[in-house]
Amino acid sequence: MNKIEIRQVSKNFGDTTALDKVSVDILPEKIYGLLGRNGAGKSTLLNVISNRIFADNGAVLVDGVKSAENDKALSKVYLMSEKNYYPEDMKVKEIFKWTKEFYGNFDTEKAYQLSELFGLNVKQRSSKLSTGYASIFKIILALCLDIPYIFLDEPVLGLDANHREMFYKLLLESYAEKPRTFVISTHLIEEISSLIEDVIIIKNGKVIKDCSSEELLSSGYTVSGAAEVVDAFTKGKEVIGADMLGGLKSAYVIGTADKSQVLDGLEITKLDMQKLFIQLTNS
Amino acid sequence: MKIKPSLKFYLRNMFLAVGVYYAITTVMLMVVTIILNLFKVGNEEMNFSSSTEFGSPTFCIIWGILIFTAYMKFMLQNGVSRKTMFMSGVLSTVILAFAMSIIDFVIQIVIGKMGGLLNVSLTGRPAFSILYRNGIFISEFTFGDVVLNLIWSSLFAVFLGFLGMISGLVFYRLSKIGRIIAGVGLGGGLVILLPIAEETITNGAISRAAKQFVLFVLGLQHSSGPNPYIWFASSLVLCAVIGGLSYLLLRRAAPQKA
Repeated sequence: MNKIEIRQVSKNFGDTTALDKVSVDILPEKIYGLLGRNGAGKSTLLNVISNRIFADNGAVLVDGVKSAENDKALSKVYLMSEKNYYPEDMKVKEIFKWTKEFYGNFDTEKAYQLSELFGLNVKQRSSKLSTGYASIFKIILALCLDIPYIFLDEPVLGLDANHREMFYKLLLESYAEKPRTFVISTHLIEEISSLIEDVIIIKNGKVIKDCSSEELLSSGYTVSGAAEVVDAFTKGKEVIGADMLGGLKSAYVIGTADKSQVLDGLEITKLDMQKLFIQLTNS
Repeated sequence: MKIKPSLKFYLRNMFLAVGVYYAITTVMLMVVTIILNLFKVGNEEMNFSSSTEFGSPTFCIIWGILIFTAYMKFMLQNGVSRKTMFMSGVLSTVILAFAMSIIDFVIQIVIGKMGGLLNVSLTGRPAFSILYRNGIFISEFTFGDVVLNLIWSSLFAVFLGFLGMISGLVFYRLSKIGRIIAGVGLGGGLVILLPIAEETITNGAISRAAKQFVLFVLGLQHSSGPNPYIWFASSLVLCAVIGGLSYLLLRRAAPQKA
């Protein structure tokens, strides 16, 4: 089956273990959220997949072929990273041109249209772009590439709310038009929670969750109400965290809510992805 | 698979720089020619070695240094493996060396002709001629000499390009402290320690050995006289060794922080 297989990948930087035997599959035509705290190993994993750095152990296979140092496998993968890997003196329109040369399946016309939509000056040198516009030009590159696996590392860094909204909309349109896999690594969990189908959560170099968003959010519930009532209700249950506000308490519980046990004054709601993420990744 | 766009990228960047280099150099040579015409006395003959003959190999060294260090991140961004980077980099260096050798030769001919028009006898004596043809002028070259001169100077430039490549990669792979140590150590070693060692310990043995090696690879120790074909063979061997070592340095190189 076509997919990216990450098999027991480990990576150390000196004494720091960035990735610890990570094994996960990235399936075709899905939108993933790759979540994790700062230093969890997200960017390291993306850099290993895209051949920018080498794993100390393990392997990454793209459609059954090892991707390390393999042009054919790498032609199916594109990583849009935080760092700018383009020459400082290269203009945006030159970057469009060379992306087409290297990848072939790059829609230059659409790139210019999106540049106009975002207000990006294509004659500007990439190093002279502001943080927001540097993200925009990289987003445009990613959206105009018709290849199976596109990785976006902090794609909305520096973008204002309007541009972020535009990006999410364009991403979904692009995905609907040409279904391919997008893996979005971001800290703005609530903003992408409605976009992503699957979630991979990394903590301290290990994958702690690899499931659909639906499955993740239905793995538990939030119970809110007066603190004593909530405490009584959650006694004996797996509570992964709680927030207090005056006398009110919200507890995050793993499991299925038994509606018959719900007392008056208690409210049961879905788990909030960001809150769940925080609870799962808190030390 | 991505060797074609990689090579195209290298060549485009290279020829832009080469174009600027030759534009400046040619103008300077023409200016020098005109000045010589203005200041010549009678029918005196002016001999000069065009700057392109030394500038071009220097250009190749710089290209070798930059080719992987300056463009690695761009290549990785575009999904190019280090293997492909290396192959296209080597190809571009060879193309550059041969192209510049041909252009240098043409410039020498043109400048010579221009001198003729200005009644200034300008004749070039390339390094090839000085080493293997008793210093005859270009105007006295046979067709065979022209071909051998082009091959000789091209291989010399290729060799220097490869030297630049390995130098660039060694420094690229070193840590910050390593680079300082290597830079200071290399300079200090060559300028200070080596002469002291030669004077006190080795009694000039290192210098003699280096000289013998250079004479040997250039084919200047041949019993029947200087032989450029020895340089053809030895340059290919040296390039293969240096190229192999360069690939070993490149194959696991990680992109450096800006």
